[in-house]
Amino acid sequence: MSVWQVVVTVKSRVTDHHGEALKKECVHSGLKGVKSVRVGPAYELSGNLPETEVRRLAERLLADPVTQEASIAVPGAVKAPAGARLVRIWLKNGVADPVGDTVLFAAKDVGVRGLDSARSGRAYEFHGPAGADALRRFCEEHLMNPLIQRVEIL
Amino acid sequence: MTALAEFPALTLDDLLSLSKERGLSLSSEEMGAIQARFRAAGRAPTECELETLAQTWSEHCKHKTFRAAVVHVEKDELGLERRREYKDLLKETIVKATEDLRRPWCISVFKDNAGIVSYDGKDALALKVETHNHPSALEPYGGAGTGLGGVIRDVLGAGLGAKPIANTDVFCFGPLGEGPEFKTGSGLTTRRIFHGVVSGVRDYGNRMGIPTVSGAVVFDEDFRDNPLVFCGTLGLMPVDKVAKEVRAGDRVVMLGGRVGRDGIHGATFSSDNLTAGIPSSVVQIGNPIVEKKFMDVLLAARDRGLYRGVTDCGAGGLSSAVGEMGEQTGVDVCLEKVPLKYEGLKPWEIWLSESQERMVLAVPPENLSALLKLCASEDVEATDIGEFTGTGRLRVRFKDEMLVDMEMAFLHGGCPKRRMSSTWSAPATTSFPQPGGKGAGPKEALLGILAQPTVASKEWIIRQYDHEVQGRTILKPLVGPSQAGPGDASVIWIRPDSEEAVAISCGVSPHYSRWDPYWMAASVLDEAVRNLVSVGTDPDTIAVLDNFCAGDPTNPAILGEVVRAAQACHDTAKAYGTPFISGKDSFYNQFVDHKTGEKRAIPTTLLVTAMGRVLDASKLVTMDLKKAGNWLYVLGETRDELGGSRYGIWWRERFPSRGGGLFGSVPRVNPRETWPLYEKLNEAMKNSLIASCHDCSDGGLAAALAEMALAGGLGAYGDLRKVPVTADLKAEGRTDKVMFSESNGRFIVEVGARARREFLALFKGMVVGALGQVRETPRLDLVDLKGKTISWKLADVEKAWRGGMKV
Repeated sequence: MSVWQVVVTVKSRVTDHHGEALKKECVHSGLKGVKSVRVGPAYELSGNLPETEVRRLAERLLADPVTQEASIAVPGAVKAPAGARLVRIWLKNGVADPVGDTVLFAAKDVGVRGLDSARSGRAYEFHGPAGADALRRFCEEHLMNPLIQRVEIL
Repeated sequence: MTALAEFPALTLDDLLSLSKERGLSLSSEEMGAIQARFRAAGRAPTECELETLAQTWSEHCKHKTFRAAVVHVEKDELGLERRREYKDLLKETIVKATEDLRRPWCISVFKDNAGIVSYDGKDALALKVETHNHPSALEPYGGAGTGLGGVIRDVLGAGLGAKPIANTDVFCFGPLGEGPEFKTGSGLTTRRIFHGVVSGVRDYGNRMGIPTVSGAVVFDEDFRDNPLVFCGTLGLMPVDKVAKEVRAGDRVVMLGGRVGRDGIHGATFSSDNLTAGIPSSVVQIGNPIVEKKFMDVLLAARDRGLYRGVTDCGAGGLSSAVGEMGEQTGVDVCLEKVPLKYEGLKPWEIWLSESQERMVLAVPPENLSALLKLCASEDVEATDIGEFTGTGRLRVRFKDEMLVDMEMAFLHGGCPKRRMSSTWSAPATTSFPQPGGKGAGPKEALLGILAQPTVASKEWIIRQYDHEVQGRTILKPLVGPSQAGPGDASVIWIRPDSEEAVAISCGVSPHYSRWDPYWMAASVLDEAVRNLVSVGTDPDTIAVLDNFCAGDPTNPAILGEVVRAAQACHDTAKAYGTPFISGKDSFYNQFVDHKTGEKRAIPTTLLVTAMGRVLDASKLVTMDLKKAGNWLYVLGETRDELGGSRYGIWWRERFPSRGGGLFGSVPRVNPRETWPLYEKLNEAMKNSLIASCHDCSDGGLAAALAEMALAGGLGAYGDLRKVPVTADLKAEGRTDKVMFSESNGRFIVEVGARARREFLALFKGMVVGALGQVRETPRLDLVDLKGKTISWKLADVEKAWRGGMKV
């Protein structure tokens, strides 16, 4: 049994419209110091999955090969790059996750058999010196609904 | 059996605490009735039985308030008191109007999941509108999406199933913004709720492949903590698929998604006040792809005659759906057969779960294998979970454990009738303040009104919805050469070989309620009908549907508003000959701040959704001005009716210090004057005499004319001295009142030079005023009552209107 985290982001030469809109929102709401934001879907996949299988899922199912790229990591090993903070927002356990269910279903179609569970979320990379507490407040007020979601800040 | 051993011995107070503790939302009287029943049976109820009763007897499922016996006392503005007793509020008001009207085309009203009318003898149309207010306040995306998903299932579960062909959406929100001052009771800001709701409806409707064609949005401080989310669906079905039944021996088949812990206690939760600190288990997240898949299978199975009865799994989950279907026969259910999303659910959770995207079918045993095969071929899960029996009992077991064993007669007939009292007193109103002051003239007022988010362009929302899918939408929500004008009604094509079509529209004006809920309801009904007439709908074919939202009905003042509104529905519907075919109510739309104990309730709000037939779709009329040189006429009388008007709201916001309280009189409806006008207008449209037509509603005549001009990209000239007004308004000589009064039953119509003579001959003896003319110059010119011209650049008008709703 292994657990993997897959984060999909737009390639660097493609404009990240969601990221740009979010940066404006940071400025608008008074979150200081954010220079840029990257945004993308995140997935937590678990099952009997070797890395090659996870890569196959990430590249063939979860990311659009033209505009997006996927990064794969084991959850505990995810580290923020220098000068940035990573935010992950996940649905709480027990809340229905149609996106996760669809990934589970579609994995079979691309020939990946070992996937037991898939949960969907959103990943954010905030560049700039915004503090963790201010960032958490911003996430709770702008990016998530604490009733059904939880946030991780790395 | 998990018996609540002490139940038979509890006092009424203990019973009430038990109801609260378990979130059953039952009153002490209702708990007492359950206790008496189980005392007579010589045993205590099981947990599951108590939960089943709570669901079936919930306000959401049983409409206890609308079915209550009500003693209503009201005082008019002169202090004269009137008293009226209703034995059953719904039966004696809304349903009575429909019964009295005896429209032969009303083929299934107030009994199925949707109201069904015959369209042309071959096909029938099913219409339903639902609210999903409490869930949307807490989790706007999931709440609004599942609201729409639920009403789509209502239509799929009407008769033997209607194909959804159009959706509608109407929302009421608080003023949009971020930051602490825009925080709502659930902790989210108004803007978050707005964005979540719009995207929830968008994603569900678009992914199901159903066009969202009609709607409205109201922004008002009253809805900050209690947003209202109305979602509607129109369905099409063969007329021979309207009747349904369940026979003993039929199998109980659950179709669609699996069961998880989602939305447990949704029905009872919606029958309670919204408070902070709600558990996440009440939240539902929709999966439109699952619903789309079973929709296709269901309609295929319907056409092959594989099942006899169907209903949707909504509030209360299996407990409501199965309990309702088996009412006449009795039913046995084995819960261990129900497919689960994950392990660990307790049996009562399986029974009550509101996991979305499920239907329950009554399948004759000989068709079971064919149905299961069809479902498997489309990758839709279907499971035989029990049998409709002839025992008249609801029996639910999990393996060997009997969870529920009680008579259907008690489950459906044992709920004691509520006896309620209601009061209403006409509020004190003052006359509308005199105009004056810098920046307070009619020129600024018109721009200010057009920029009010409620009036302003909703293009940002509308464009996110697919309103073209299925290829049936003839009149779209936005009209005119630049597809930006706010159309009065949308029109859907039913059959390719026919000129006929169906039009759909709505009316909602909650702010009028503060003046008088009676005239609020009458105005709303008139607006919905007027919108249909504006595009060319035959007024004699209109059917309507009500959705009431209010605060706590046990407060007599709140129930008084509902009673007055329901009475107006009866009186106006009867006068117009427009039967109500279905409806829904949502109470407890009030937020209780658990820190301060403060209760904040919405004004009683009625949404009327209307549909009617357009006999010749080639003669449809839109609201955009068509050609310079054409003549403009005002139909209907303008009265001094500015109470609750957009102008009044603008005035209050502009001069908060100059006028408190309620000022002006609320618009009334006079069917004897308006109805003949509607019929005449329809005749003129059939004779192709009308080039464009727009009803006067929010912002009155001036806003209507401005909208027509910007939709058509043409200028307009109008002389306000030519507008037909009442004698007192004429004597008063106030330009602002003529411009912005929201009197019902009025239209502005555009008539071509050639049609003018015939038009005037047709309208002879009716209230018509020669307002002015369409012009090429992009300007709006209105001559005021003193003969002075007020002028707006069309670009300024458009800028105000397009930029008003700041998302």
